[in-house]
Amino acid sequence: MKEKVKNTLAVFSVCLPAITFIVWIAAYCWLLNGDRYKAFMQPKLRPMLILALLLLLIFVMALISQLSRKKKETNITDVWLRTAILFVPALFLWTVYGQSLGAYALSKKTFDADEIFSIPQTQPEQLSIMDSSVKSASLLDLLKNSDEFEGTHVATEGMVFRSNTIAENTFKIFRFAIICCAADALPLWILVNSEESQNLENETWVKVEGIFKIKKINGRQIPHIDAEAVQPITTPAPEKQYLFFY
Amino acid sequence: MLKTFPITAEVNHHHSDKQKSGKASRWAQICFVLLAICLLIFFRNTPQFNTMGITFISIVLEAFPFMLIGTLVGGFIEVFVPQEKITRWLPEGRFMTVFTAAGLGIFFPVCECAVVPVVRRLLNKGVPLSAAVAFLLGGPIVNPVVAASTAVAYFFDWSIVVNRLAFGYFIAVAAGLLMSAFFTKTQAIRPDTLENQRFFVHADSAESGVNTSLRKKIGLAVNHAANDFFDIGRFLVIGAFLAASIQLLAPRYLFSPIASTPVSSISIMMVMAIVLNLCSEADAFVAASLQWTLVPISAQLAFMILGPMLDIKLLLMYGRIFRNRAIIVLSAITFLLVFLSMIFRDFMIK
Repeated sequence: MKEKVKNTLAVFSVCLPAITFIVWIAAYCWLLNGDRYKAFMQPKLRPMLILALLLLLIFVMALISQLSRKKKETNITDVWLRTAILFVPALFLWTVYGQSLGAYALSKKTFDADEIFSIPQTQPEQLSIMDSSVKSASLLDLLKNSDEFEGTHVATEGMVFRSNTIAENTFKIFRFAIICCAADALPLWILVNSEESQNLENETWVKVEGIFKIKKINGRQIPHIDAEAVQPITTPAPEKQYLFFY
Repeated sequence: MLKTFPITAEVNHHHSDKQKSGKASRWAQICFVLLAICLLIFFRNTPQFNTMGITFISIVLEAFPFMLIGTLVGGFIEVFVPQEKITRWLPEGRFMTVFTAAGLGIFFPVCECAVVPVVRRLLNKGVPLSAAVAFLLGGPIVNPVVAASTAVAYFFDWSIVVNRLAFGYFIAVAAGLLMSAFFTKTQAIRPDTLENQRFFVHADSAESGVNTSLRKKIGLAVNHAANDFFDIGRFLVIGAFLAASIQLLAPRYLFSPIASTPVSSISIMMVMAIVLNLCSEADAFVAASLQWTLVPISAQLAFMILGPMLDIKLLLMYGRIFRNRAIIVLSAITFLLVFLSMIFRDFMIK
């Protein structure tokens, strides 16, 4: 009986590489469908994902065509172990999809601890508004073209981050911008001065409207919005939560 | 016909070594699977797990396509390029071979994940250790894609691009030469890999001979590639998992160099390169984001040069090519060369 089980396992083990690749083909199809992959990586890498899918298909075909000629696996444990390890990211993908980098990741992915802590209260400044019409812009656009937006009426979206070290009527509006994948995500944030924000919890998605200004705090240039309106909005789908360089 | 090799005392010694390291490695892999499953069951839906999980999956998803390409190229080299041809292509003389190999990335732009399976196959086709190491380290830096991404990240500051590629090239050459001075090929390369490959070559030679149809040869090459991916892919997965965990445990601001001195800032940026495991096409953007801080350019360069040569996932993948001792020496040499050359650069600039 034991011998029979061992034999069956050995025969089945021969198919394991092909089965593993089929699982990954399914994972890539699922990611490409509805652009779900954008919850993890840059849209410009889509062709690479399609290429990976095609290569895996070719690998499976090659493995299946050689199945009849392949001898029984002698090192069954090793083959099962490889399969289990290659299944781990697929399981994580299935579990983690729907979540995104939030306030916790902000504290881990910031390069300078001072950026997160010890933000003093600042008074809204009297500004000469150059353009009264509201310009909608992402945090990335605002920060990239801060000179162009300075002093203008802007609207932007992102998550709320507050902490004990940030003044009461101030919070950070933040999002992550991806270069290639979420591992290299850089947190982008702007300080928002607003009286309406007291009840907003961390990671609440909001739309902020107000005057964009670069202020000097502790000798550093810090982007600010003196908010006129802060409105909670529906949390975007996971694939729409990140900003992308390029 | 399958040829067998004479079993010598050396092979027996290698065999017992292989069994010992094989057992330890197997247990480590079992622990990894169990740990991953425990995390999935007990910690899912916590911000820590989500942050780590997203980082882990992102690294795997980004690296898999490049690794698939690498294994495919390796498979085709195995079946279509005879050993004599490779030996004929290589320039004569050890130095010339190493200098050529370190710059091959210009013609074959490969990233660090793709280069490992290619080098594994090249070593079996008679490429000398020094040249293989030079290509392994130089290929992912000295290439047009990396040059372009660095240029864009630094707003076309060409001095940064030239510095990165030039230092990357010379460090790869020096590491290749030093490795061949310390080790012979059989001392550095895993015996089981070489033995398996030899068997493969002989077993396949009957099929990949002149009479075999092109279709069959292609099938064989793809089959090699698939098996390589199934073998090396697990080390990428474990490396990505470790990298994501370390990113979680050691936040970036801890590395933020208090660093007014070049020694500390360069060292910290090098440790960060090993820990973050970024792709060589993305790391320039992370380095460039430090431009406004006190981190000197030499430290940013150290980050961009060491990352594609040495990081956690690469260390595990190197385990499929080199013996443990060779990996330790290669890592130490690479780390020291990058560190010293960046200190030297900083000193010269000042």
